[in-house]
Amino acid sequence: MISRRLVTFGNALNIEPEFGIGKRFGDMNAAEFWVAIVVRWTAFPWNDTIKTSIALSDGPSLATQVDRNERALNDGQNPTASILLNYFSPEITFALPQYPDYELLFRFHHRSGIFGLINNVHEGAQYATAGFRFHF
Amino acid sequence: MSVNQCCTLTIALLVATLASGITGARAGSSVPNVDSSGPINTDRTETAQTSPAVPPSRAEVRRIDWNGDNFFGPCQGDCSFALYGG
Repeated sequence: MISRRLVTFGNALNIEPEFGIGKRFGDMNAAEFWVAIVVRWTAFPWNDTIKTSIALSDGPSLATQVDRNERALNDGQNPTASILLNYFSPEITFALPQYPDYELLFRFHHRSGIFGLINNVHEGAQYATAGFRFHF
Repeated sequence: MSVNQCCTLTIALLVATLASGITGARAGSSVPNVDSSGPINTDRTETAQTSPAVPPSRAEVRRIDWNGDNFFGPCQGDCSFALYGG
């Protein structure tokens, strides 16, 4: 996933467009592509101890196929499911103040049809994830 | 934890930190905020010299750091790459 800061309000609130690619493993095999707008808050009183940010991302997500497990989430509501769903991802990051460009990232990778708004789909594949972010 | 609980918790945390950030902001000060934890500010709006008796307007304390002019240019520490899984 790559992103870039577009604008900052009050040295605290960032707007960051994001583009991401994901690949599912295990019982599911689809790849995912998404673009999103990230709203990130960076001004925390403890940033001198551990630099923290929290963010919400939202945008369209396209999967290369509807995996069987994802389709099963919507049995009885829409058996056809949808490869195009909404991507929504709350996130929190931590970094050491002396290394602010290297962040530990925890993100809830969520895809859904926004309560049936998209093709009558309610649920999509989602994951609790962890990883690293590098600023350059 | 369900999805709804997760989102609710995140939004509640965002509201709480927004409130603490506003309380801690230097509203009315002519000195720019030099918090090193924030992004690089290159074209923030300068605050005007005002009399201490006259409170600054909302426009004077608002600071917007627009990076759109350089958005498709070389990265200057404002790009990021993340790799995660779960």
